[in-house]
Amino acid sequence: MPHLCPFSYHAPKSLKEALTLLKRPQGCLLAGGTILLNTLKKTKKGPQNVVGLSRIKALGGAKETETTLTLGAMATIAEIERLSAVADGFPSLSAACRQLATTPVRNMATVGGNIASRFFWADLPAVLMSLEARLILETPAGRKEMSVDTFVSRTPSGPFILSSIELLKGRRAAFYLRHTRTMPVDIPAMAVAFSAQDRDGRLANVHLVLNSGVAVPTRLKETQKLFEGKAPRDVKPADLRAALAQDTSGLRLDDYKRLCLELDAGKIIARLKK
Amino acid sequence: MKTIAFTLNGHKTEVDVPDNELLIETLRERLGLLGTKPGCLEGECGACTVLFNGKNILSCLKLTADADGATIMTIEGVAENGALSGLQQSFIDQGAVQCGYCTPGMILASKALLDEKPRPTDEEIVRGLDGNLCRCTGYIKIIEAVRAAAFKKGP
Repeated sequence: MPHLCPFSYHAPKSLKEALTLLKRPQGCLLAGGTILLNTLKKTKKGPQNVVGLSRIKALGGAKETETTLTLGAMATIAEIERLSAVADGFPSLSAACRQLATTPVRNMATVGGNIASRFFWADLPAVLMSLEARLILETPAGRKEMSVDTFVSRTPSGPFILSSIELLKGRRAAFYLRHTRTMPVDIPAMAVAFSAQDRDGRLANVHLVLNSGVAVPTRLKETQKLFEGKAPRDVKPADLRAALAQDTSGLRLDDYKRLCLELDAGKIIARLKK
Repeated sequence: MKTIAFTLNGHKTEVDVPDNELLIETLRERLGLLGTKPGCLEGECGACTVLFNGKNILSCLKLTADADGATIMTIEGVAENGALSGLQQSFIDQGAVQCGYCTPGMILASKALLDEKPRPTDEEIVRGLDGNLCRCTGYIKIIEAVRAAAFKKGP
């Protein structure tokens, strides 16, 4: 007996063709398959049309200019982890890719799928938010660009294909700290993505995003404000605790996760001091 | 139905498959390659590992229709000219096989690792096998087998 409900599979070679196919009834996109196919195994009535993206060359690989790094949405997590431009310029993204799931999953899963799946435990949206990444979407009406913040907070209307992710190069400190319940390969119980620039020894353009303990990646705005413009040594532990408490007051975090968050914020400061 | 062509264990292969068929189903039920084991069927255990264009992937998470033009290797394709490969022999020599259910996946994941990093560190071996579960031996013998295969001096 087949494991998947019946559907028609389409393998377009261009974005235009894919968008046309996506207009068919009950259509959905297939990237690496690690999330969608597992989901379809658990449903009796799935999509009528599955549009595979693996043959669209424009969605693969990575491109670099002097100022930007653009990741194709179909680049696998393993490919991104191996890119020297990522390891050198975006260490938190590299760390997130390295810690994400297992080797065979990293060989299959794609950056686009990780973002577009909208699973609350997906690692990359939070990291990309902290790095101010821009998402490029192809729609029947043309190309759209949006921040990851906007994308995770609401689904774009109408059919779209996430085609690439653009990152601005620049010197910054960036970390991704991740907690799992048992083994490192587990999905994160809680994670924090941080990035900031150094302006004369003071933190600037600070981004701090809480992941996985919450429904969607969430900016810790008060804590960001607290860090902004300060030298790391001037961030007082009591102020940090107060800011974190304010940021998480409306969130359903248990004591364990709150403690993890406090410890992570302390670790970030310690790393910045170095 | 779709006609899908790929290179399987060095041989050009063509199969007619329903659109919703998983690669593990095609390999086992249509092509009779029973070395690819069904385990969790959720991508957790690694029993269904195959090499897909040289990378270890999970055949329970791959549509056969999405494999057109690919080069696939299953455990049946690892032996060379009817003789066990050095890696397979190392699993036997080091006692890294108990019930054997996870062994095909372990060997293919190890092969992918050694093809990319012929002299891996223990940390790299552990990481290379992080997607494969063994419920019998524990992992020490398996890691020793991969290490021994990597550092065995050639003739």
